[in-house]
Amino acid sequence: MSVQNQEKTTTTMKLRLLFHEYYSENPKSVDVPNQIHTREFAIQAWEYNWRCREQIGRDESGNEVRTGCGKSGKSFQPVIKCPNCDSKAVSVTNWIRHEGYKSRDNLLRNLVKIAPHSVYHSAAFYGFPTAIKMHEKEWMGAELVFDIDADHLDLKCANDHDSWRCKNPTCGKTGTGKPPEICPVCGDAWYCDNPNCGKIGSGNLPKTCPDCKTKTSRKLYGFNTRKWICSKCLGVARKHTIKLYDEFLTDDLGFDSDKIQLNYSGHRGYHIRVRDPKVYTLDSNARIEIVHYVMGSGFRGSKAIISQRGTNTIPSRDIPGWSGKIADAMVEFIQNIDTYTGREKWVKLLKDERVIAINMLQRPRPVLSPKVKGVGEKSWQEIAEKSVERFGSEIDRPVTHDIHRVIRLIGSINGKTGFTVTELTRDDLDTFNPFNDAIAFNKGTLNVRFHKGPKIPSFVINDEKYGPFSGESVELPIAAAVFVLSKGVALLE
Amino acid sequence: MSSFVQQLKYPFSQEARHTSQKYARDLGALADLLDLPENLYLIEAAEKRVYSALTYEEIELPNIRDEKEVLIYPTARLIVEEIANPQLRARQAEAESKSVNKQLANEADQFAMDLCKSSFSWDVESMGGLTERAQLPIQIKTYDMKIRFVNFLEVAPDFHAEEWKLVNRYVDNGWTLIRRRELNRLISGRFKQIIQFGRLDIPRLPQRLTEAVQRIETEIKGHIRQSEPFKIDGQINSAFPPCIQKMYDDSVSGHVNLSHVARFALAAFLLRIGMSEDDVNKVFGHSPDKDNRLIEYQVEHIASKRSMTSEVQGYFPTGCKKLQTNNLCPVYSGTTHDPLCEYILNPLGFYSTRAWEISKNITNHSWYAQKKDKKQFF
Ligand code: SF4
Ligand SMILES: [Zn+2]
Ligand SMILES: [Zn+2]
Ligand SMILES: [Zn+2]
Ligand SMILES: [Zn+2]
Repeated sequence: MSVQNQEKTTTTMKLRLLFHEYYSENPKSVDVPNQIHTREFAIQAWEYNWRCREQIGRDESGNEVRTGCGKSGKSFQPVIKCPNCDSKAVSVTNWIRHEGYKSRDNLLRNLVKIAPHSVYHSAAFYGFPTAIKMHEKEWMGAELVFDIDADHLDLKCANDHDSWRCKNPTCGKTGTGKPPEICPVCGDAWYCDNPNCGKIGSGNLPKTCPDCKTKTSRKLYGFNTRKWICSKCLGVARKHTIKLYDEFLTDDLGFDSDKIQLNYSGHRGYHIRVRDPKVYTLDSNARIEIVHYVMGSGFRGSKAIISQRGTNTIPSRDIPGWSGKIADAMVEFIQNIDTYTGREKWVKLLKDERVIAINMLQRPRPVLSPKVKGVGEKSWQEIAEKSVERFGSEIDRPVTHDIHRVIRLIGSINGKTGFTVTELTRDDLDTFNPFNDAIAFNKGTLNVRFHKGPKIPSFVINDEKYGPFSGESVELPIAAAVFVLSKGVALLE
Repeated sequence: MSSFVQQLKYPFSQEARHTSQKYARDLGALADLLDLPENLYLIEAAEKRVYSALTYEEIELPNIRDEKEVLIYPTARLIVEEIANPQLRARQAEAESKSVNKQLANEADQFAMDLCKSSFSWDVESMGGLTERAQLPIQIKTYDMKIRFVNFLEVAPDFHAEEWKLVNRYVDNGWTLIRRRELNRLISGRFKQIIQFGRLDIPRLPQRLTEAVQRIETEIKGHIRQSEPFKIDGQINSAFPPCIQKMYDDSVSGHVNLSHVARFALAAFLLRIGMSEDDVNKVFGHSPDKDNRLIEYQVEHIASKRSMTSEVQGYFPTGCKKLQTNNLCPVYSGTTHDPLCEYILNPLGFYSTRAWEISKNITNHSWYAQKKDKKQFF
C-alpha cells in the first residue's frame, strides 16, 4: 500500500471509530422512523465491497475462455481490478441496500456495530422491505418528502468556495466554481487511436492521424469537484425551506405542523417529511402535481390576469392558491429584473418603469400600472408566469415524486461533514446554525495535515474561524478536525 | 326515488357493493348464481353491456326495478376480465365511466357529495348557496364546492387540461375549490381507474357465461385491430427521444388516453419526420375514446401546415419546455435519462442528432459536451 493510501485508511478508521463512539453514547439522538419493520434501509459503508465476476466466454476460434476468479473482499480504497487475478470485471460498491430492522434496538445495535459513513431509510412502507426486486417489496404507501439542497440553487458563493480539478493526469488544471463543460487546457486535444503512435494534437479533430493515418478521437476526462458549504448557501436553502413549510405545506395544502418533520441534512440543505396518513397512498403522478404546485411550474397566467374594459386586472391577495400570490411574486421578480436573462420585449419596458410598477403592485389592492407603456394583457400574463416560477420553492424534484427514494436517518451522522442530521422544529429553523448546532464531537483535539493545491476556504465552527489552508499541519479542536477529514481536504497526521 | 335505490345505479357505490354481496358473497358465488336458469337475463344484459362498450355505444344503466340487476355490472366485468384483452378493458372503462358521468348530471349536489364520501371516502363540502357566495370575489364565486386536495389528486392527474393542474387551482388550507360539473368528472374518472386497474380473481365460469365470453371474443376481431398498426423500422424508432417514445407506446398500446397536447406533439413530430398521414392516423387508431373522424381531421390539419416554414410556429413540433410543464417529459419528471436531452430544446433536435449517430454507428456520447452547448439541466 502506498503511503498516501495508508494515511487515507488510517483517517477513515479514525472517523469510523469516532462515529462508533457517537452511536454507542448517544442512542437517544437517533430518531427511529415509525413502522420501522416496513422500511428499507440503505447504508453507505466506509469500505468498498468488491467481487471478481467469473465469466465464461469463447474466443475467436471457439475455445472456452474463463476470466475472473470469483473472489470477493473489502477495501478502503475503490477497487479497479481484482487484487487476486487482475481481472477488470469486478463489481465494487460501498452501498448496502435492502436492509431491514425489526425494531429500534435492532437498528441501534447495528449502527453501533458498523458505524457507517451514512445511513438512509425509505420514505416508503413495504410489506417486504428487504426484497431485492422492487415489485416484490409490496409498496404500501410513503411519506411525502422534500429535499431542499444548495446544490440546486445555483448560488454565487459556489464560485468562491467550490472547486474542480481536471481528471486528465497530464493536465490537472484546477479552477473555482462549477467545472466547465470542457477543460480549458486539455479540452481541445485529440489523441491518435493507435497505441504504438500515441500522437496528441489540439484544435480541429483530424479525420486520421497525420503521422500514422489511424483514426483519431477526443477523450473526456471529466473533473473531480469539491463542494464546500458556507453560511450563505445554507441561508438560501433555509429561506426556501421556510417558504415551502409556511406558505405551501401549512397555509395552502393545510398540513398540521405536528405532522411535518423537519431536519438539517448534515450537509448543504434541509429535508421535510409529511407524516400524514392522508398522503401515504398518493402515487407518483399525484406527487408530481404537488412538486409543480410548490415550484410554481405550469402556472397559466391567462386565467389570472384578464383585461376588463381596457384595464388589465390582477387578483387580490386574498384569493386562495397561486392567484393570490401573483402580486407578491411579480414584485420580487421586478425587483430582481436585472438578473433575468430572457429577451422578451417587455423586459426593457419593465426595467424603465420598475419603480411605479412595483409601487402599484404593492398596494393593498394590487394594480398593473398602465404607466408601463407597451405591456399588454399577453405580456402581463407572461410576466406573471415567469414570476410564479421564480417565486416557487426550489426543491430536488425526483426526491418528492419517486415513491421509492431513501432519505437520511434523522440523528445519524453525515459522513460528508461529520455533522449530525439534526431534527428541527419550525422555530428552531429561524436561528439554526449547523456550524454550532449540528456538531457531533466536542472532546479533545486532532493533528491534521491539509492537502496542497487549491486553497481550502476558511470556515467557522463553534464560533471559531479556521483557515484558509493549503498544505499545512495543524492541531485542531475535534469538531473542526472531523469536518475537514470528512470533507476529504485533510488527512490525519 | 329513494337515495338507496338511486345509489344502486352506481356500481362503485357502497350500496351497490353491499347489495351485490347480499346475493353473491364473492365472485365464485356469483358464478354459481349465474348458472341458474332464472338468472339468464343477467348474463344477457351483461353481454349487451360489454358489446356496447366494445362498439362505442352508450351503456344503458339498468333501472334497478329489480334489486338483482346490480349483478349485471360485476357480470360484465367477469366477461371482460376473462377475455383479458387490454383494449377491450379500456373500452369498458371508458364506456362505463361515460355513462356514470351522464347519469350524475341529473343528481342533486348533496347526493353527489354523499356518494363521494360513502364510495371513496372523499371529503367534499358545499360552499353554500348563491346568496352566501355573493360576497366572495368574482373569481371564486362560481365554485359551488370544495374537495380535499389529496382526494382531488387521486384522479385529476389523469386529465390533461391545464385547469386540472393543482398549480392552476384555488387551493387553501388543504381544500381546492371545485365546480359540480368537475366533481362529476372526478367521480366517473375514479370509476374508470377501478375498471382499468382493479384485477378480479376469476372463478370457474358457468357454461352460459362462457358462451357469452366466446361471442364477445368473436366480435372483438371485427372491432379491435389485432396487430401493430404501423411498424416504424427499428432504426428510426430507436432515434426517438424518451418523450416521443412514451407517447408513441401509450398510443399504440391503446389503453392510455393521450391528452390533447400529447396528441398534437406526437402527430406533429411524426409528420415532421416524414411519416404519412395515413400511418399517423393508424398510430392513433387505437385510442380508447376513438373517434376516427376527429383524429383524421386533427392529423390532416396538422399535416396541412407541415410543408410551410417555421413561420407557422404553432405547427412546429412541440418543444421540450411545453412538454415538461405538461408532464410529458420523462427526463424532467425523473423516470429516465438521456444525455442528449441536455443539449436540445425540441424533440426534433434530439431525433436528428440521434438518427445521425445511429447511421454513423456512434455509441459514445461524450462528444456532446465538446461540440454542443448545454441548453437545459435536469
Ligand atoms: S428533454 Fe425534450 S426531447 Fe428529451 S425527453 Fe424531455 S421533452 Fe423529450
Ligand atoms: Zn479475480
Ligand atoms: Zn485538462
Ligand atoms: Zn498516429
Ligand atoms: Zn456558500
